[in-house]
Amino acid sequence: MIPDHQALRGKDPRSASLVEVPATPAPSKDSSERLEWLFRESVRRQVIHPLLGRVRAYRAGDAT
Amino acid sequence: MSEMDAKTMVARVRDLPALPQALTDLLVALQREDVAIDQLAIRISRDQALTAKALRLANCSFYGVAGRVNSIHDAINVLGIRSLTTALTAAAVAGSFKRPDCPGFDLDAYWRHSMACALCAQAVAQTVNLDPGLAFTAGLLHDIGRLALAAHFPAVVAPAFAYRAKLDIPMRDAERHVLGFDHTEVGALVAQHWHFAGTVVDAIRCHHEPLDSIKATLTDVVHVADNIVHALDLANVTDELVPPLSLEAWTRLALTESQCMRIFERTEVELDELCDALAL
Repeated sequence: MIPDHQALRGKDPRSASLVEVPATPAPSKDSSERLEWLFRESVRRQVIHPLLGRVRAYRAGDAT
Repeated sequence: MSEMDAKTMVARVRDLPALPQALTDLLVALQREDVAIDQLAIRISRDQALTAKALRLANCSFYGVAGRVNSIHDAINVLGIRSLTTALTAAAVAGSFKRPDCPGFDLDAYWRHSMACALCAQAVAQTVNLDPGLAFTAGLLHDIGRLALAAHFPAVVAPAFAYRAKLDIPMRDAERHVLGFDHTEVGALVAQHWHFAGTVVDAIRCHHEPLDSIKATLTDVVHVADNIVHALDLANVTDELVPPLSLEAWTRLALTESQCMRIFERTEVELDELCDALAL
């Protein structure tokens, strides 16, 4: 489930209602899912984060 | 307490840790042309605890002179006054706060992230021909407001940590929701209190939202460095989260892929040594 915290933006921050979000377990640091999970904020905003590809290439050691 | 604004917060922090006077003098002097370096070096040397820590740091390999710096005068001759200032600043700031007793705040993770950001900002600045010393300092201090809040107002800020964990959102959003302000405003006031350069204060205040600019700024450097070190997952935080990136700042810096690879590697390699030198 994607949290609706974007509703907080552009308003008096204390006026927004608290949105309950089911806890999603964090992948362990050596998990293959960890890197993409770190960028979950951008996924929720549906924007491409330019660093994701660069860090993925760096971790894979296949940067040119 | 929820009505407290950032300025009220800082006004109440009467016991805000003071940086050593010799370092404050140095920071002020570096903003002028007529710097009496020798006299400043003598004053710095009199603070033995600060000098010892700064020299240990100055001999880290990332300064490129491992084992060659034995005195403040050596440091000035070998490193230059601006690099020495970064070492002194790191040493002084690291020793300025007691360990906060604040649920949700992890001091070790805080320092690892701040040190990583300092190193990364320095590497980015060198790549884009901005002042690496200022970038190191701004990177080191970019989240100082978080430390100040956790150290001095743990009961006020603890609900923000809980809120952040509950919604899995960036800490800044949680602070704004719970407190009505965030760590960038507090951090900028702390940096002003410590007499850091205006560009450093601006970088701390705007590191989550760099202002429009025609060319790359120190704030852009710190913003992107902060993103990089979150993405490299260096702070040993389970629920690490990469914050939103300003595409304008990213575009202004225009880092190529190969430049990014070098910056990533350098940041990772230097981080453990820097943390060891500062006994963090």
